[in-house]
Amino acid sequence: MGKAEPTIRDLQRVIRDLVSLATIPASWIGREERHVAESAASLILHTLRVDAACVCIASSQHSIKAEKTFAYAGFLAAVNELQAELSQNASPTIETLTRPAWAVPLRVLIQPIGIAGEFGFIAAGCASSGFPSEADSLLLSVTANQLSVAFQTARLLEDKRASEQAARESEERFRAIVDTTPECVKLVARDGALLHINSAGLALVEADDAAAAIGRNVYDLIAPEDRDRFRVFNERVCDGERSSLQFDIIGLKGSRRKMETQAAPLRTASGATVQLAITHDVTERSRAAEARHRLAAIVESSDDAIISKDLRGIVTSWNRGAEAVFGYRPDEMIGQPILRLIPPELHNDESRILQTICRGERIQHFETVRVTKDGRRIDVSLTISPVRDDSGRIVGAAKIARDISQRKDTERALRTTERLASVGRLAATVAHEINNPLEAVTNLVYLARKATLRDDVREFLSNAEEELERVAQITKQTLGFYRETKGIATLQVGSTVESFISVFSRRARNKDATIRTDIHADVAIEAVPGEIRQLIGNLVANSIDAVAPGGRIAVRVAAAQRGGEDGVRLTVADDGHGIPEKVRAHLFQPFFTTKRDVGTGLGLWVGKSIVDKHRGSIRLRTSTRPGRSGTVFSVFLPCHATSVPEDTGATLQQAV
Amino acid sequence: MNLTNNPPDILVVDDEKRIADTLALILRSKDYLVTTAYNGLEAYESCRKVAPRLVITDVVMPQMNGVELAMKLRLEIPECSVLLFSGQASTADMLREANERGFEFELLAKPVHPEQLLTRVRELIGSGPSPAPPRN
Repeated sequence: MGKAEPTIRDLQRVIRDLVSLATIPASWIGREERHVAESAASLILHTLRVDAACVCIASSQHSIKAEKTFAYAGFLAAVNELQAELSQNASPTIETLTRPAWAVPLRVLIQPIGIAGEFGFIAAGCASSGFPSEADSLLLSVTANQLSVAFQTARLLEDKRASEQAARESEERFRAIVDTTPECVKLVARDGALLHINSAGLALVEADDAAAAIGRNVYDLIAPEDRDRFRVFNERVCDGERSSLQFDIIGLKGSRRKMETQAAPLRTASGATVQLAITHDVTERSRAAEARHRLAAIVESSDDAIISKDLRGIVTSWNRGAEAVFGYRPDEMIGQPILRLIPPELHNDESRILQTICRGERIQHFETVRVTKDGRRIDVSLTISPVRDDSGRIVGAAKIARDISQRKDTERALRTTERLASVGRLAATVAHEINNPLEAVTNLVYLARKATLRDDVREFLSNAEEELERVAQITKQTLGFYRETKGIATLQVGSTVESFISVFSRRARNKDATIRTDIHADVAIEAVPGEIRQLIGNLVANSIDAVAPGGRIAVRVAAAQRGGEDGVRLTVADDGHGIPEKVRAHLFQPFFTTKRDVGTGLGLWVGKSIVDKHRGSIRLRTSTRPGRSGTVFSVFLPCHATSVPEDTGATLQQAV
Repeated sequence: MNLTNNPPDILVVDDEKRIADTLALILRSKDYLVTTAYNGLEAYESCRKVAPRLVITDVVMPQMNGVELAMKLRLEIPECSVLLFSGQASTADMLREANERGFEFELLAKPVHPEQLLTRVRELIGSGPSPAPPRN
């Protein structure tokens, strides 16, 4: 076409083409690069009315090529070669290209495309020697610009699609992980709406499918007592804090379960922060823990000693009951051999026990003796069971030891009581048989003594009378005939002591002991005389038993006062062996005796009963210090026994 | 045994004859007028004829026991003192029953030493013989 002046037709054409170029590329926006390249090549071919057109964009990652031609195959390859020769010139180039396949040479206009980091061009070839006109160059340049924009837009869209795809894939992967995880994973909105929950979560809340749970308010699933706590917790997490919480839920089907949740804030696409929570079901764990605590509490609060040991007999646990029964603290026993508790002569028991345990057998109510920390021997009843590990192997023994000392004492006391009861019954039946002949003999000896003129015979009979008096005293005491029925009378305590003490003179003499009486005032009291005599008798008899040969006993009677009330103080003191501390506590208990062969264990108990019955009080001072040992019983009796209650069982007769 | 027509000072009752008799001898040695009976019924009959000032009676006896005798005497001859003596524990229960019915008796436990008995008798009825001569 040459450099001829453009005709009006030319201008009209250029304007039309510019309009079409300006409007058509709008449809490229959002299309794929390949489609854009094809479309651009066609557009150039038809709009510029050339014989060949091509588009090429190439980078190390990808290349887009499009070629449109009627009879010039290989146009793009030829342009490409040319462009390589021209070392990728960045400005438009015009060349003539010939190829053997082509009928005629082509005039070619190459317009580079500016895309960052990439090499690209757009080219048009025309057989006409006037090609390209200025209009052609302008049109190709505009097209290249349009194409650049379209490609860059396509590239952005491509990137976006790729990243969207990646996000979708990542989300799907995440969803798959979340859905298959055995823990409950859920998203909760600030207002409590359940946004997402996995299948483990659905099972926990007892929902048949997601539709039954999603969108529901989580607060409705929380047990009422935990609801407020959960609300505060959820809001705190949604405010950006990580936190954890234990709470109970009530499932859609009504079962209550205990949950523990770990939550973190999660910012969603919409910009809101929600709670992402992983929640485990801790029902079983907490049930097991509760059961363990309960058991531990039971073990700890038991009065029985509950001890575990391994198969070597080494103590592995020691409860408070064990401490109470045996006196050892846990730190003194754990890790120590259980043999510590077993008296030396019973050490063989332990190996027998362990053998039985190793056979998997229990030992029940095995009554034996154990030794406490302070060396006391106590009666215990043992129940021992094997302890197995999870695999069923026997790894030790659990032992429950009950202190049955008291029961044994009671049994012993009961046996004594029964013995005494039978003795008592025997006494009652023989009393008459003994006392009646004794009465007759006493009378006869008295008469004989009065009748005889011989001094030696009188002396013999007098001795006989003394011995009879002794027998009488013994039968009265032993057979319990200090039985007053006359009730309350006025009694001169001093005179009573004076006259009564002579009964004991022979017994004291036999022990080479002396009894001194010291009557400060012969106070009169209202009392049951026989009982007061028995009280004095029991105290004096105890003193005689307590003193060593040559010992001294002092009985003192004096006026006294107690809280403004007049009365009498009766004191029986001896310089005997004193009463050991461990005996003192039991002193006034029935059937407690240190005089194993001769004592009934009733003397002081009866004595105290009599004192109580007369509203009096009895006190004891004693010392076992060698050289200064001795015991003083001090009894206060008020002058006026306002009312002496009916027999309270103060005498042996009633005791048996 | 009552040699005079005077009422006896003391009636001693015991089904053990030897006890009744020896006690009577002891009391007579102190110049008391003493009669004896060997069971409660006999004693009661005797008292109804001539009442003594004091009856010393055993408790456990056939026919009529000492407590029954004592209660009858207390009701019928209240001026006659009664002293019970017994060697048996069951006496206490009999006495408690009597007590519940409003009777109170003194009980001495067998064996009673003669001196002790004499002291008690002297306290109850004074020294023999009866009646004590009025003092001027």
